[in-house]
Amino acid sequence: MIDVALLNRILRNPAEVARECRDDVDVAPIARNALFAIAAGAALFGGVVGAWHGGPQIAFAALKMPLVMLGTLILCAPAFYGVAAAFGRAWSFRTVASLALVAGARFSLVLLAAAPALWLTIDLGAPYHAIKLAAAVAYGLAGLAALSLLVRGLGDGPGKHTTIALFVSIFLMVGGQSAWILRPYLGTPGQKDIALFTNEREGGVAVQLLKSVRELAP
Amino acid sequence: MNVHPHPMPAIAPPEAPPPAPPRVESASHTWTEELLRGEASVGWAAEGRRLALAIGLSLLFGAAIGLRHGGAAIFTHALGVPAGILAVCLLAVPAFSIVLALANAPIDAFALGRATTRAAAHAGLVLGGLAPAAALFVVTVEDTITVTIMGFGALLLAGAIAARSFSREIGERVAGASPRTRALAAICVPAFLVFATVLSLRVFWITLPILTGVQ
Repeated sequence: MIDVALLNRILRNPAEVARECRDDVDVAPIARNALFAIAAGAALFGGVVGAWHGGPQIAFAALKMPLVMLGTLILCAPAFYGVAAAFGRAWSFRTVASLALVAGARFSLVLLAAAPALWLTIDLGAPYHAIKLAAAVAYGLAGLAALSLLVRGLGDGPGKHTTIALFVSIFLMVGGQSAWILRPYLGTPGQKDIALFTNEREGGVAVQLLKSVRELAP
Repeated sequence: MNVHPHPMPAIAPPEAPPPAPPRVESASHTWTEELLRGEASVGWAAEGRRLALAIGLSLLFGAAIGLRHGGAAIFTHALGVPAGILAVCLLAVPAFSIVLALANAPIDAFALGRATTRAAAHAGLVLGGLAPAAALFVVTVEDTITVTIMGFGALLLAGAIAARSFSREIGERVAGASPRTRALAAICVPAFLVFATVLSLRVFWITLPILTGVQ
């Protein structure tokens, strides 16, 4: 059963939920609801992103977006655990995992809130690059919401800022690569064939980012 | 209203329930806490176990890197990462103990050993934690440069965290020493850390061909 009150608390009172995770108080229902929020929020946002191309792309993106989110959290949780411990927060893995899940839930709930606005942007016929930008802005806002929970969850103490910086770096790198290997979500203009995964060999996400920077540089 | 309290109650009042045990802080007794700090009074055997755990955790990171080529590379790379840590523990730290003795630093062999194993545990924990992410990168990234940057980046991060732990512990012990010893330690500790970094990177360069791109 979904605990709407808990999801509401994750949005309204992240400090309290983060403290419960840290103190290991009833983390099983928190984790269960967080998982649901991650899956539902990311799937809906993915479906909206896929709606730009339409057809099977809606289902593909709705399926892949939660996979990226959950896969990234699974891969990042051990790293978060190690980094937090190295900087004076030697918590149990359960604590770290529940904190990561709750932050992920807050991220997905913000994506869920952004989904109607993105859909309207698509429906009004916004160009491809505007939709890419709108989706990126939604991701940025969701990231900030998750980060604020994480900041509260880490509590005060030495090494807090370094820990946060490392968490964010690891999450961005792993999330970027996970998203890259499961692309496409939006599709490209003029694309006829829709595939679940692309067959193009384009290097990794880091290579593509470097290429983009080089193209933008004067 | 007059109230007459009964001098001897016929029925003994029920005993108050025993007080609930004090809530144990989750952060104070975790396995991680034991690994990184542990008790100060235990002996060499406990420090040996801590080092063995650190080696085991770092082995996971090496095995993850080896997944890029699979087969024997998993095994050789799994050994390569602990080799760098062991090189520092077995070659650099004994040399550093002589330097500390020359500086008359109030650090005995056991204290230095404990600082070393704790630093190794910090590095091992970070490397073990980064192993799943490393596996994702080495398996899915096509170009070598990303793998090199990611691999050496993780090793440098773990090394920096270990260096921080080591220098803090040595610094605490030297804090009460004479000004001469403190001044010498202020030179020797950073010099040791530079030496340890170069030594471990050299070992990684030889033992981790996937990261260097040399096949």
